[in-house]
Amino acid sequence: MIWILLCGLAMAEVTVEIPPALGAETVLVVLDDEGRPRTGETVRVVHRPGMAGELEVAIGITDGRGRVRWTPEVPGVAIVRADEETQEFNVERAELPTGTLTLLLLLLLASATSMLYGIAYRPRGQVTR
Amino acid sequence: MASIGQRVSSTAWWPGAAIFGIALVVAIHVQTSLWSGGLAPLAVAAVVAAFLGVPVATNEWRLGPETRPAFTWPLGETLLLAAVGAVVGAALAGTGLAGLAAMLIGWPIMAFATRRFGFWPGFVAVGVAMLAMVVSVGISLPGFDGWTLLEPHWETWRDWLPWSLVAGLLLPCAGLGRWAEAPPALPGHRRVPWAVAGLGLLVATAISLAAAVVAEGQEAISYGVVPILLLALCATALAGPPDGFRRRLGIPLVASLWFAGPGFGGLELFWQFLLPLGMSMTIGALAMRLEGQASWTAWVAAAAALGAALFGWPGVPIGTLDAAAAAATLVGLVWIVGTRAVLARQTA
Repeated sequence: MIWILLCGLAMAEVTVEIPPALGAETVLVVLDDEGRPRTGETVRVVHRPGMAGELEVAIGITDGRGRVRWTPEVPGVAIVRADEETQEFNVERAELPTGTLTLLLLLLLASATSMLYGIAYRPRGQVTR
Repeated sequence: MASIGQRVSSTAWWPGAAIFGIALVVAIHVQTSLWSGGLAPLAVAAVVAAFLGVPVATNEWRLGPETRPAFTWPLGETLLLAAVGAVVGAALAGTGLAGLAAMLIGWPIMAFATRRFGFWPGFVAVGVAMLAMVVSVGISLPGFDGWTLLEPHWETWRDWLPWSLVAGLLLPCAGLGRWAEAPPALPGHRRVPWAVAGLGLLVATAISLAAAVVAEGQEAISYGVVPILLLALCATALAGPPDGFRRRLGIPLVASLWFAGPGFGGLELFWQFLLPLGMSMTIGALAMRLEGQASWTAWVAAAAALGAALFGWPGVPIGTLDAAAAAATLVGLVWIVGTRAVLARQTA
């Protein structure tokens, strides 16, 4: 009995028809423990959960087939919530984030330059052992 | 101790302090600042390190402590301290058992190589590992998908600026001289703070990549192992050639284990208030010994550390265990610093 209950709990899920991408409409489907569509559920999405710039947005209410349309406006990690069900998605980016990439390359360049500058110096003169 | 090409009279530096600083910066960055500001806090820390931390550390290490150290440590203990500090840092950074395994495998290999071939080849090995890491990131960049956590958020500066100020001073180990003077001072040269700061910044950046990939819910083996190996390499390279192990453990080692275990509740108070407060006092004392522009730079750095302490005051812990850990940390620090100060005056 407990095993059946656990299996049922594991089956409750939030799925998407098309993997979410920035600016592209997709359809979320909310199913109950027995795989039937859950109607009238308010669906919310939390972008960047636990990170700076966390943003929670209400997507809408599921229709008779447990479906709701979603057009992601923020790229990256997002958690979709429908009642107690949660599902993590990764909203695909349209292009590389140039600002973040530039900062990352600058940090790597600064660390490499600093290290090489520090290692390159070899004092002359008195040599001891 | 000194190797060919090093002057005994040139800048002295403390390898244990370097490892302590790097491990603490990496641990706090991955746990806190990366989540509150992305790469922005690390970028500000790099700027603070370049314009305040390195000049202060250079002068601090050049002048040395005002009095002779009360305790002298064999180099083997310093190596042990460095290795365990790096392991604790890796554990705090949340890199998991795979990272710890890589650390435990990489460290003895590097220790043997350092003992066999000397100090500088170890440092060069760190550079080679760094190039390998940069190349691997460059090759996999089109498929890299960890941008969510790395995205800089400058508007949340109130949350991470105190950390950036402290990390910028810790990266080149400024303000740690009097507190970490127990490990032996090795003959170095005037550019050592640049090398140490660069190494610390590199390790922090590399582990940020690993954490970012994990945050996206993906495997991070290729990114996780490299920074851990880097930590293993720098732990031995910065510690220098081993000279045998002793059973006597050092205060920084005990402190590392304390914060990784029962004293974890006091880490926030130590990191956000006690450490920057102590650093501001240390750098302020250094500023009084300097003249001209060097003195002004040191005063600005002391003010930055003091500001970080006041601005980053975390408040009294709410939980009973956390409060007890914080109180024990405070009592322990006062006892250690007071005892060491008295002994240092007696032996001066």
